[in-house]
Amino acid sequence: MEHSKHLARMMLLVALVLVVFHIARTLFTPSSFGKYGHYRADNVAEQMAKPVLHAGAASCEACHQERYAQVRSGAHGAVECENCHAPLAGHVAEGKRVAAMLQNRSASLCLRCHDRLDARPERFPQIQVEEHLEKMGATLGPEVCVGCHDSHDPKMGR
Amino acid sequence: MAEKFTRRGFLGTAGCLVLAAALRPRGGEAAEASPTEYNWEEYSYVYLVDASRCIGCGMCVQACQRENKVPDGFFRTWVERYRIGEGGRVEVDSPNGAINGFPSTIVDFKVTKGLFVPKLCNHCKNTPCTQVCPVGASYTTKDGVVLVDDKRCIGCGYCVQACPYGSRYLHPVTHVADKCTWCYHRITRGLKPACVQACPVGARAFGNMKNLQDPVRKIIATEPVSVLQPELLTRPNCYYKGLDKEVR
Repeated sequence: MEHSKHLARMMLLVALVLVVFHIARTLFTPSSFGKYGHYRADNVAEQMAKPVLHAGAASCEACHQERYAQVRSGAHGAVECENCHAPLAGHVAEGKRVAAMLQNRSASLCLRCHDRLDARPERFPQIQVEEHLEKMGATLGPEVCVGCHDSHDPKMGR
Repeated sequence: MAEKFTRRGFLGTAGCLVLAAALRPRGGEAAEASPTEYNWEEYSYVYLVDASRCIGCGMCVQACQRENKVPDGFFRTWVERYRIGEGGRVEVDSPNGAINGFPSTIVDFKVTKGLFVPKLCNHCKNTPCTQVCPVGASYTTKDGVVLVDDKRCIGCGYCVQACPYGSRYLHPVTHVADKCTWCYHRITRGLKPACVQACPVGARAFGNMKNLQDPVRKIIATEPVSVLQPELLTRPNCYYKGLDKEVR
């Protein structure tokens, strides 16, 4: 066995590589990796901990009972307050009012839902803008819709 | 100091190091998975889109962007408009993901039918995106949600290419993959995803297949539903009602 020394060195080298690999792997793998599967388990908690910004209309009711009741009983009853306003988190934080709530009175907001589109379901209430304005004797302006309609209870003649 | 560097000494030291590394406490610093009493074993989430109800207002896209701070020009959910005429004429558009709704543009053929189709991550059961992740940053939770660990992701973009539905993008600021989480921070608190809550016409619904009384589960069990690109065998957890054959 004249080459036994070489073999021993080779074995040593292999052992060294294995040792380094194992140490590096242990150091660089996050501690919670593999707890539930091939991923970092801590990330699940991180995802869950992200802040909730849209609180939902029921949260708005806590302070605005009358307005809430009015909207719910009208044609916009299924529309979330935060759709036309803004996420509640910018208005209330930890139970305290922190800023004024955005009020969007623009016609373009109304037309997102009610402009007549050829792909929009027929049964949904929509208008051909020029036609509607001509019939009503109104002229197009940035806030033309809310001149006649109350966005919280939009149906006329109620 | 004059200690001789011997093979025995070296092997001994190396052995000790390996042992120490192997015995290093693991998982000890793992935060508890739930801030509340949430138990993910009790949930298997499912999403249902009713395209026949969608009016294309884009409130869902707006709510998603605000809730999840999605960067401008990128979308975790978006709405497509399909305008179909006779003789195979089809026009599909989604201006800026429909975050401001759709303009009343005209196409050069007679539209015989039209529909709006909300799109989002399908949270597939047999998901192509997590399979290709080389670092274990993309994964599926026990309750069936496909998530990205932004601390682990290296931004290689394999998953963005692997997704046949175009649901992922590389975040322009963090440079890691980003996608719909079904608002994991909301659903684990018992809330609906922001897009579902924002929909004024009930075109989007969210349910739990492990709840026998769940209305969405009931619809999927008893009514005709389909999924996008079933031939890819990705087995989406996002179901559709009222689709047209032109919808991919």
